[in-house]
Amino acid sequence: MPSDILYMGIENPNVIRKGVLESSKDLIQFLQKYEKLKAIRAEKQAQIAKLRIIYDDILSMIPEIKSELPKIDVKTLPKWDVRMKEELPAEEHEIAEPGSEEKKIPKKRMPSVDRLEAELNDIEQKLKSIA
Amino acid sequence: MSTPVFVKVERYKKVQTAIDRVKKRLEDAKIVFKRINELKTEEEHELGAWQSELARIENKISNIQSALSKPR
Repeated sequence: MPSDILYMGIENPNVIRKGVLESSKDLIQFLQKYEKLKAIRAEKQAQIAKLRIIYDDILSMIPEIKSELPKIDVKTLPKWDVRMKEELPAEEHEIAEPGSEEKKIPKKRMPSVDRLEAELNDIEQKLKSIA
Repeated sequence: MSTPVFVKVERYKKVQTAIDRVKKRLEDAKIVFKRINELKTEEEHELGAWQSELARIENKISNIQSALSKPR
């Protein structure tokens, strides 16, 4: 007995044919968009790699700068008070050089700002004692 | 303000040159950063468009399926 061959009727075949063709077209466009996305990502990765090279370049220049500068711990240098320089007579000014600790700036009188501050603290202490 | 420190003029010039080179590279880095940001925006836009395309295809396939499920 031959096997029965069955058929299925399709309502509106043209609509379905059109739908299938449009879907195929959309799928191709979908794949094209994916290729565009891939290209953008590839360029982004290339730019990031470029940035990494620039960063490495800058990092290599820093020791070069450091090597040219004197190896002095700035924190151990004596402080240079600008206000003291303004108050003292000109002949008493000296620019301190590294290794010249014996050349100290003579302190003849307190700068006016520090004197005022000291007077203010004194007054405040007196006010507190009254209160 | 700390005590001034003195360096040889030649070394000072070398330091100045090195700093100029660093500044130039920093400018290059800024340009690259700008491009990366542009690409990020473009990528996000394409990703959105890709997603919309996917949704449209899904819809069409559903329509085909529903059309096929109404037999004569």
